[in-house]
Amino acid sequence: MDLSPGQAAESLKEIERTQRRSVEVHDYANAAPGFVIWGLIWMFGYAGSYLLPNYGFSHGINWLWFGLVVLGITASAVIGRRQHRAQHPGEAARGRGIGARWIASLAAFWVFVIAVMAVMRPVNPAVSGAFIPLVVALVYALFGIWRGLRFLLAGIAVAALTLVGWFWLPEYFLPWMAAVGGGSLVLTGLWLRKV
Amino acid sequence: MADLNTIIHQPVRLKIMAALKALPPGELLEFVRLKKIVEATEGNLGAHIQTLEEAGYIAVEKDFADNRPRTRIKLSREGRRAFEEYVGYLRGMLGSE
Repeated sequence: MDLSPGQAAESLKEIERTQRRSVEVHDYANAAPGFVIWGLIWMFGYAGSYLLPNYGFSHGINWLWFGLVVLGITASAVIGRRQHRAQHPGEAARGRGIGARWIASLAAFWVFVIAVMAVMRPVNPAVSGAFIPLVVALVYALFGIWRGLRFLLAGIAVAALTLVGWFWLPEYFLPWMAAVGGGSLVLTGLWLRKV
Repeated sequence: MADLNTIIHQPVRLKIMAALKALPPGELLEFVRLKKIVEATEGNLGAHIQTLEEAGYIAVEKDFADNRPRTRIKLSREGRRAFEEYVGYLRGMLGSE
Protein backbone atom coordinates (compact mmCIF):
# COMPACT_ATOMS: atom_id res chain seq x y z
CA MET A 1 0.00 0.00 0.00
CA ASP A 2 1.43 3.36 -1.03
CA LEU A 3 1.15 6.37 1.21
CA SER A 4 1.90 9.96 0.24
CA PRO A 5 3.78 12.32 2.59
CA GLY A 6 0.55 14.32 2.88
CA GLN A 7 -1.39 11.26 4.05
CA ALA A 8 1.41 10.40 6.49
CA ALA A 9 1.29 13.93 7.92
CA GLU A 10 -2.50 13.73 8.26
CA SER A 11 -2.25 10.38 10.09
CA LEU A 12 0.33 11.84 12.51
CA LYS A 13 -1.99 14.79 13.19
CA GLU A 14 -4.86 12.39 13.84
CA ILE A 15 -2.70 10.43 16.29
CA GLU A 16 -1.79 13.62 18.13
CA ARG A 17 -5.44 14.76 18.30
CA THR A 18 -6.64 11.38 19.57
CA GLN A 19 -3.87 11.11 22.16
CA ARG A 20 -4.62 14.58 23.49
CA ARG A 21 -8.29 13.67 23.76
CA SER A 22 -7.47 10.35 25.44
CA VAL A 23 -5.30 12.02 28.10
CA GLU A 24 -7.99 14.64 28.67
CA VAL A 25 -10.73 12.03 29.19
CA HIS A 26 -8.42 10.03 31.46
CA ASP A 27 -7.59 13.08 33.60
CA TYR A 28 -11.23 14.19 33.80
CA ALA A 29 -12.41 10.75 34.91
CA ASN A 30 -9.68 10.49 37.55
CA ALA A 31 -10.20 14.03 38.87
CA ALA A 32 -14.01 13.91 39.08
CA PRO A 33 -14.36 12.23 42.51
CA GLY A 34 -11.82 14.66 44.02
CA PHE A 35 -13.88 17.65 42.91
CA VAL A 36 -16.99 16.15 44.54
CA ILE A 37 -15.16 15.34 47.81
CA TRP A 38 -13.57 18.80 48.14
CA GLY A 39 -16.82 20.48 47.10
CA LEU A 40 -18.62 18.74 49.96
CA ILE A 41 -15.79 19.68 52.35
CA TRP A 42 -16.13 23.33 51.33
CA MET A 43 -19.88 23.12 51.89
CA PHE A 44 -19.54 21.70 55.40
CA GLY A 45 -16.53 23.87 56.30
CA TYR A 46 -17.90 27.23 55.19
CA ALA A 47 -21.40 26.45 56.50
CA GLY A 48 -19.88 25.42 59.85
CA SER A 49 -17.73 28.57 59.99
CA TYR A 50 -20.84 30.70 59.37
CA LEU A 51 -23.32 28.92 61.63
CA LEU A 52 -20.89 28.16 64.48
CA PRO A 53 -18.27 30.91 64.21
CA ASN A 54 -16.54 30.16 67.52
CA TYR A 55 -17.04 26.42 67.59
CA GLY A 56 -13.94 24.34 67.14
CA PHE A 57 -11.40 27.13 67.69
CA SER A 58 -8.66 26.40 70.16
CA HIS A 59 -5.17 27.92 70.39
CA GLY A 60 -5.70 29.66 67.07
CA ILE A 61 -6.51 26.42 65.25
CA ASN A 62 -9.86 25.84 63.61
CA TRP A 63 -10.39 22.17 64.40
CA LEU A 64 -13.48 21.94 62.22
CA TRP A 65 -11.46 22.78 59.11
CA PHE A 66 -8.50 20.73 60.30
CA GLY A 67 -10.72 17.65 60.64
CA LEU A 68 -12.32 18.25 57.25
CA VAL A 69 -8.97 18.69 55.52
CA VAL A 70 -7.61 15.47 57.08
CA LEU A 71 -10.80 13.72 55.96
CA GLY A 72 -10.42 15.13 52.44
CA ILE A 73 -6.77 14.09 52.14
CA THR A 74 -7.57 10.57 53.38
CA ALA A 75 -10.56 10.19 51.05
CA SER A 76 -8.55 11.49 48.06
CA ALA A 77 -5.73 9.02 48.79
CA VAL A 78 -8.15 6.09 49.14
CA ILE A 79 -9.93 6.99 45.89
CA GLY A 80 -6.65 7.56 44.03
CA ARG A 81 -5.48 4.13 45.13
CA ARG A 82 -8.78 2.47 44.19
CA GLN A 83 -8.72 4.10 40.76
CA HIS A 84 -5.19 2.88 40.18
CA ARG A 85 -6.09 -0.66 41.26
CA ALA A 86 -9.14 -0.69 38.96
CA GLN A 87 -7.11 0.57 36.00
CA HIS A 88 -4.08 -1.66 36.70
CA PRO A 89 -5.31 -4.98 38.14
CA GLY A 90 -2.52 -6.96 39.78
CA GLU A 91 -0.37 -3.94 40.65
CA ALA A 92 -1.31 -3.54 44.30
CA ALA A 93 2.14 -2.37 45.38
CA ARG A 94 2.15 0.49 42.91
CA GLY A 95 -1.39 1.36 44.04
CA ARG A 96 -0.07 1.93 47.55
CA GLY A 97 2.52 4.30 46.07
CA ILE A 98 -0.24 6.27 44.32
CA GLY A 99 -2.12 6.67 47.61
CA ALA A 100 1.05 7.89 49.33
CA ARG A 101 1.68 10.38 46.51
CA TRP A 102 -1.84 11.75 46.90
CA ILE A 103 -1.29 12.23 50.63
CA ALA A 104 2.11 13.87 50.02
CA SER A 105 0.74 16.23 47.31
CA LEU A 106 -2.24 17.40 49.32
CA ALA A 107 -0.19 17.66 52.52
CA ALA A 108 2.36 19.82 50.63
CA PHE A 109 -0.48 22.08 49.45
CA TRP A 110 -1.85 22.51 52.95
CA VAL A 111 1.57 23.07 54.51
CA PHE A 112 2.08 25.81 51.91
CA VAL A 113 -1.27 27.40 52.78
CA ILE A 114 -0.58 27.25 56.54
CA ALA A 115 2.93 28.71 56.03
CA VAL A 116 1.51 31.61 54.00
CA MET A 117 -1.12 32.24 56.68
CA ALA A 118 1.56 32.26 59.39
CA VAL A 119 3.58 34.85 57.45
CA MET A 120 0.72 37.02 56.18
CA ARG A 121 -1.37 36.85 59.40
CA PRO A 122 -4.87 37.41 57.94
CA VAL A 123 -6.92 39.98 59.89
CA ASN A 124 -9.97 37.70 60.06
CA PRO A 125 -10.96 34.12 59.09
CA ALA A 126 -12.81 35.35 55.99
CA VAL A 127 -9.48 36.41 54.46
CA SER A 128 -8.25 32.81 54.73
CA GLY A 129 -11.63 31.71 53.40
CA ALA A 130 -11.05 33.74 50.24
CA PHE A 131 -7.32 33.14 49.86
CA ILE A 132 -7.47 29.33 49.83
CA PRO A 133 -10.10 29.09 47.04
CA LEU A 134 -8.07 31.56 44.96
CA VAL A 135 -4.98 29.35 45.31
CA VAL A 136 -7.10 26.30 44.42
CA ALA A 137 -8.46 28.18 41.39
CA LEU A 138 -4.92 29.01 40.29
CA VAL A 139 -3.89 25.34 40.54
CA TYR A 140 -6.91 24.25 38.45
CA ALA A 141 -6.29 26.99 35.87
CA LEU A 142 -2.59 26.19 35.48
CA PHE A 143 -3.34 22.48 35.18
CA GLY A 144 -6.12 23.25 32.69
CA ILE A 145 -3.84 25.30 30.45
CA TRP A 146 -1.73 22.17 29.94
CA ARG A 147 -4.13 19.29 30.35
CA GLY A 148 -7.76 20.18 29.59
CA LEU A 149 -10.15 23.05 29.00
CA ARG A 150 -12.59 21.89 31.68
CA PHE A 151 -9.98 22.27 34.44
CA LEU A 152 -9.26 25.79 33.21
CA LEU A 153 -12.97 26.65 33.21
CA ALA A 154 -13.32 25.22 36.73
CA GLY A 155 -10.43 27.42 37.89
CA ILE A 156 -11.94 30.53 36.32
CA ALA A 157 -15.36 29.74 37.83
CA VAL A 158 -13.97 29.18 41.35
CA ALA A 159 -11.90 32.39 41.21
CA ALA A 160 -14.80 34.45 39.80
CA LEU A 161 -17.32 33.14 42.35
CA THR A 162 -14.90 33.75 45.22
CA LEU A 163 -14.28 37.34 44.12
CA VAL A 164 -18.01 38.00 43.57
CA GLY A 165 -18.74 36.80 47.12
CA TRP A 166 -15.85 38.77 48.58
CA PHE A 167 -16.57 42.11 46.93
CA TRP A 168 -20.35 42.09 46.48
CA LEU A 169 -21.61 39.94 49.33
CA PRO A 170 -19.10 40.44 52.16
CA GLU A 171 -21.70 39.86 54.90
CA TYR A 172 -22.73 36.56 53.36
CA PHE A 173 -19.33 35.50 52.12
CA LEU A 174 -19.16 32.27 54.15
CA PRO A 175 -22.65 30.94 53.21
CA TRP A 176 -21.97 32.08 49.64
CA MET A 177 -18.79 29.98 49.54
CA ALA A 178 -20.58 27.02 51.14
CA ALA A 179 -23.41 27.05 48.59
CA VAL A 180 -21.85 28.45 45.44
CA GLY A 181 -18.13 27.67 45.94
CA GLY A 182 -18.67 24.14 47.26
CA GLY A 183 -21.62 23.61 44.93
CA SER A 184 -19.60 24.60 41.87
CA LEU A 185 -16.89 22.07 42.77
CA VAL A 186 -19.47 19.30 43.18
CA LEU A 187 -21.09 20.23 39.86
CA THR A 188 -17.67 20.35 38.17
CA GLY A 189 -16.98 16.84 39.44
CA LEU A 190 -20.27 15.58 38.02
CA TRP A 191 -19.56 17.42 34.73
CA LEU A 192 -16.12 15.79 34.45
CA ARG A 193 -17.62 12.36 35.12
CA LYS A 194 -19.88 12.77 32.11
CA VAL A 195 -17.00 13.15 29.66
CA MET B 1 11.99 0.94 5.15
CA ALA B 2 9.48 -1.50 6.70
CA ASP B 3 6.04 -1.98 5.14
CA LEU B 4 3.04 0.06 6.23
CA ASN B 5 1.05 -1.76 8.93
CA THR B 6 -2.38 -1.94 7.26
CA ILE B 7 -4.05 -3.28 10.41
CA ILE B 8 -3.22 -0.10 12.32
CA HIS B 9 -3.56 2.23 9.35
CA GLN B 10 -7.37 1.89 9.14
CA PRO B 11 -8.76 5.21 10.58
CA VAL B 12 -10.83 3.82 13.47
CA ARG B 13 -8.15 1.31 14.47
CA LEU B 14 -5.54 4.06 14.31
CA LYS B 15 -7.58 6.11 16.79
CA ILE B 16 -8.05 3.10 19.09
CA MET B 17 -4.32 2.43 19.12
CA ALA B 18 -3.45 6.12 19.61
CA ALA B 19 -5.94 6.47 22.48
CA LEU B 20 -4.53 3.43 24.28
CA LYS B 21 -0.90 4.39 23.63
CA ALA B 22 -1.49 7.77 25.32
CA LEU B 23 -2.24 6.03 28.64
CA PRO B 24 0.34 4.71 31.11
CA PRO B 25 1.56 1.20 30.11
CA GLY B 26 -0.86 -1.56 31.09
CA GLU B 27 -3.73 0.81 31.87
CA LEU B 28 -7.22 -0.40 31.05
CA LEU B 29 -9.63 1.91 29.22
CA GLU B 30 -13.37 1.38 29.46
CA PHE B 31 -15.20 0.65 26.21
CA VAL B 32 -17.66 3.53 26.79
CA ARG B 33 -14.81 6.02 27.23
CA LEU B 34 -12.96 4.68 24.20
CA LYS B 35 -16.17 5.09 22.20
CA LYS B 36 -16.29 8.78 23.15
CA ILE B 37 -12.64 9.33 22.28
CA VAL B 38 -12.80 7.50 18.95
CA GLU B 39 -16.28 8.83 18.09
CA ALA B 40 -17.39 5.55 16.52
CA THR B 41 -20.63 3.62 16.81
CA GLU B 42 -20.72 0.71 19.24
CA GLY B 43 -20.89 -1.95 16.51
CA ASN B 44 -18.14 -0.38 14.43
CA LEU B 45 -15.86 0.00 17.45
CA GLY B 46 -16.54 -3.57 18.55
CA ALA B 47 -15.58 -4.95 15.11
CA HIS B 48 -12.30 -3.02 15.01
CA ILE B 49 -11.46 -4.02 18.58
CA GLN B 50 -11.90 -7.64 17.55
CA THR B 51 -9.51 -7.17 14.60
CA LEU B 52 -6.88 -5.60 16.85
CA GLU B 53 -7.35 -8.31 19.48
CA GLU B 54 -6.92 -11.04 16.86
CA ALA B 55 -3.70 -9.35 15.74
CA GLY B 56 -2.50 -9.48 19.36
CA TYR B 57 -2.24 -5.69 19.61
CA ILE B 58 -4.76 -5.24 22.39
CA ALA B 59 -6.23 -7.29 25.23
CA VAL B 60 -9.91 -7.17 26.14
CA GLU B 61 -11.11 -7.81 29.68
CA LYS B 62 -14.76 -8.33 30.54
CA ASP B 63 -16.10 -8.22 34.08
CA PHE B 64 -18.85 -6.72 36.24
CA ALA B 65 -18.69 -3.38 38.06
CA ASP B 66 -21.59 -2.30 40.26
CA ASN B 67 -23.60 -5.25 38.88
CA ARG B 68 -23.18 -4.02 35.31
CA PRO B 69 -21.17 -5.71 32.58
CA ARG B 70 -18.01 -3.80 31.79
CA THR B 71 -15.58 -4.16 28.90
CA ARG B 72 -12.08 -2.73 29.20
CA ILE B 73 -9.24 -2.66 26.74
CA LYS B 74 -5.50 -2.26 27.07
CA LEU B 75 -2.59 -2.14 24.69
CA SER B 76 -0.42 -5.26 24.65
CA ARG B 77 3.36 -5.14 24.55
CA GLU B 78 3.20 -6.34 20.96
CA GLY B 79 0.66 -3.60 20.15
CA ARG B 80 2.82 -0.92 21.73
CA ARG B 81 5.79 -2.01 19.64
CA ALA B 82 3.72 -2.24 16.43
CA PHE B 83 2.28 1.24 17.01
CA GLU B 84 5.72 2.73 17.64
CA GLU B 85 6.95 1.13 14.39
CA TYR B 86 3.92 2.49 12.55
CA VAL B 87 4.57 6.04 13.83
CA GLY B 88 8.22 5.62 12.88
CA TYR B 89 7.13 4.62 9.38
CA LEU B 90 4.96 7.76 9.06
CA ARG B 91 7.77 9.99 10.31
CA GLY B 92 10.11 8.28 7.88
CA MET B 93 7.75 9.24 5.07
CA LEU B 94 8.17 12.87 6.12
CA GLY B 95 11.92 12.52 6.44
CA SER B 96 11.84 13.35 10.17
CA GLU B 97 13.30 10.05 11.30
